[in-house]
Amino acid sequence: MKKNSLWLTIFIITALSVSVVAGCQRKEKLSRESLTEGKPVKGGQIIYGMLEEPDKLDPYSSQMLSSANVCNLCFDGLIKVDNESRVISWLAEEVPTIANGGISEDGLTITYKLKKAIKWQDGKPLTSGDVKFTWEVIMGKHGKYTPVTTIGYDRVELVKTPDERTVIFHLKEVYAPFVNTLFQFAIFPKHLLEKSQDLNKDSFFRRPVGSGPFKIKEWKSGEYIIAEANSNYFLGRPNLDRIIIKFIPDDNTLFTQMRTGEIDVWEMVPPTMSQQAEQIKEAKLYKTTAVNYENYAFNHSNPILSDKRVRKALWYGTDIKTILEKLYPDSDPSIAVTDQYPKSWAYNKNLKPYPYDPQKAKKLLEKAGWKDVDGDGIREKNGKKLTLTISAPSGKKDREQKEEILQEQWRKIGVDLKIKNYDSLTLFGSFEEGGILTTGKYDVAIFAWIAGVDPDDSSLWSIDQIPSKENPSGQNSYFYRNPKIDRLCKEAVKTMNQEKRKKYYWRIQEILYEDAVTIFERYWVDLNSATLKLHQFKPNPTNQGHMWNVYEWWKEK
Amino acid sequence: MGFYLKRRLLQTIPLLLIIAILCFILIHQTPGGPLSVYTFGRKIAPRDIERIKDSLGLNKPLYWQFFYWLRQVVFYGDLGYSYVTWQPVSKLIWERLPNTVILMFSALFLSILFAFPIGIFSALKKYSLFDYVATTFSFIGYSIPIFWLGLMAQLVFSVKLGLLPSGGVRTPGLPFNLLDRIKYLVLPSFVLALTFIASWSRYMRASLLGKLRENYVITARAKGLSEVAILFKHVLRNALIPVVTIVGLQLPLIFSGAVITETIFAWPGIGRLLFHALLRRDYPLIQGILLISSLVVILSNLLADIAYAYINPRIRYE
Repeated sequence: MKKNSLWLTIFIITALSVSVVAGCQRKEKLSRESLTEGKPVKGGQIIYGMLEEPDKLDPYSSQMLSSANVCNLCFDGLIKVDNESRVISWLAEEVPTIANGGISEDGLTITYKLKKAIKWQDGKPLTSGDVKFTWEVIMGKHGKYTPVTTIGYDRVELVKTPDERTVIFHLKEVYAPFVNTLFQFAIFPKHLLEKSQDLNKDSFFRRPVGSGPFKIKEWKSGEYIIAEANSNYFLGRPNLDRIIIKFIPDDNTLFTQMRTGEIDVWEMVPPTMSQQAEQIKEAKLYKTTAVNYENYAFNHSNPILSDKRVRKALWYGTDIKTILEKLYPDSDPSIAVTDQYPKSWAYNKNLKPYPYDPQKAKKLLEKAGWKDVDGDGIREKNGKKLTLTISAPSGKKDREQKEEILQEQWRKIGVDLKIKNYDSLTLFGSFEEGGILTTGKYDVAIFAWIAGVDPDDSSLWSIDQIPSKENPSGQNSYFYRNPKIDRLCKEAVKTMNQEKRKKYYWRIQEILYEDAVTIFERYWVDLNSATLKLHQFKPNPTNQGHMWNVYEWWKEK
Repeated sequence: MGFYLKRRLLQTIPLLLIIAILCFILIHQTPGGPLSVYTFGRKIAPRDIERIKDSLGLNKPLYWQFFYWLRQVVFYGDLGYSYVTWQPVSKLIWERLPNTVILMFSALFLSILFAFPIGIFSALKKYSLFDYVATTFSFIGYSIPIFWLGLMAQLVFSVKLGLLPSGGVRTPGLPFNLLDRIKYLVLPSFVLALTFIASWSRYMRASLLGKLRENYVITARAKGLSEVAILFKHVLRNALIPVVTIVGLQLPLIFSGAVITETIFAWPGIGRLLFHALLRRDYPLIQGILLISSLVVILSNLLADIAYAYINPRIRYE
């Protein structure tokens, strides 16, 4: 009897678990048509599931990308960057160029003209004075304020507002990325903020009043933000009545809530869950080429890797195609060859990925003096083995697998690769905090950078950007030294003429490619899942965020 | 009792000070810092870094930072401002703490509600079908990781049955509604409670079995007392003593279990707040949360001690 009851319990448990597993069987996929057409329906609400809660709704001082995204609800910039990575005019009538007279011939005067009849959510008109005020806030001329960066804004010498709709910036020196990157996220209301003594701590940024399509009604920390349609929006009242942003700190829970319909949009589906996301019947999985490019960075201060032939050999000896097919079979990412985004005007289309060519790699290594003398499969030079260490942030499964594949592939060309990973804060820590990258304590490292809307990457490649005691925040943790690149980077930001700039950036990309500064691997793929009922959802891979066109969104009844 | 309470409460002061110093040293010793969020992956000028450091007070020596913090806490009750959101730390904690306390105490309530009767019944009906089922389930319940259990609970109750919401504390935008709040509380509190139901019912069973063999039970039976009277008048009270000790000692475990539960069920509690503060190296917030949560744990241990005296007449705090 006693034995029987034990078996009975075991049976019950097995039966239970089998039924649970059986319940999770694959659902059949539905065919999905384009969701950008059709006549918009007014009304309804969208619940938007987000992994990371913004720290505050201030795009200029927030450290988080989610903040800039949510700020699309309540704020507007003079310009915006659309989902094709193009700079488009928003509050401004036109993006200033030399051709339309917005930029003076010498590039030192930039004029923005505001669109007509733009109002703040409290009904007051938005004027050129507010634009000037925003610049003053960022430059710390109005009480305490800690923006993440003042680059670009600090080039302005004088701001003039000849009338309500015109604002003129006089620059001290030409700064080419000016119109593409400044005033992209928000203009601040002067009448509400000018009396604030400490803007960092001002509660305004918990419940801002901006000019945007939705008014922030309620923000429950750790739970949600509720935003309601602004009927006075300058582009017309948005189609939706309400947007609720729910903060759900766990990917699996986001997936569950997407299945149960507790959320309508699941932002940032992790690549490892793309198959699961694809199975949700009522939703579409949007795949967008991201602006983040992954690379296997070389530390150029390492004597082995300072030899261009070795770097090129390693690139030829890396079968990137196979790596991507093995690790990302579903998202089908595109191979990267430069530091620019493929849709950018500055992208050099002539460059093609390095072919996988182990023979060429071996020849290059021979030429560089690395020969396998003792026949153990690893090359030597002057009695030293060709041994390198690769590092990545620990806990990322795909990168860990990648390291093992690289180990195998590089072994074939006679390179011994060791793996040493760090937690991400240690790896990416600042110079003073002893970060592994910034202090150069690595040989090869796997990480990603963001290709900006403006192609200026001088902070990555310039010699004076190498992290050191004198410049602890330098970003050139490749320790790459090439005076030619320095010169080209400097020339490229001295002109406002896009065609001229393009020539410089094409040349820079050619040099980086030819020099094998780093092995460019792939662009990430942004995955977002949204209900089939949501139309006009156009994920935006840039720092503008997916809600950039939220006023156009509409939902089927 | 009054004197004992006063003494215990006074003892918390040096204890909290030691905790504060240890926390401060530990968080500053961990690699990385609040600046890496600003510096990596962005175009940022060296003078911007200096400016940010200056506004965060990071360019002052460490001991100065600590004593400044201590002074603000002791004399003004001011826990400082978060490096990330610039909101007062006390406000951030106060927004989240009630949620964690609700979750913790409903889990505690459920654990006791289920663990004690299961344990008692298992002990009385030793080696019965019920005892086997309870034993098997408590072993399973004890060894299942919380995050997996949470996922399964969501799968069954939210996705398959559609009975309960899979995360959050309330329906956004709805005015206060007790039923709505309870609906959201069910899954996380059960998931958090399960481990404790499993282990405490085992303790209860073992303790009761031990006491049932005591001589005074035989005496009571010989006197002709009914089994019910023996159980409730004599055995149970004695058997509860070790169990209550364990419950008291494990209260901090509920607190730490809440961190995982809060993440899975999007429950905006203090655990999640701490987790994010740690990731961002938000020193003032970390320091504040650790201080407050130590206080909560110390106080709940004190509660357990008082309960102890209440159950066992031989223990009196004088």
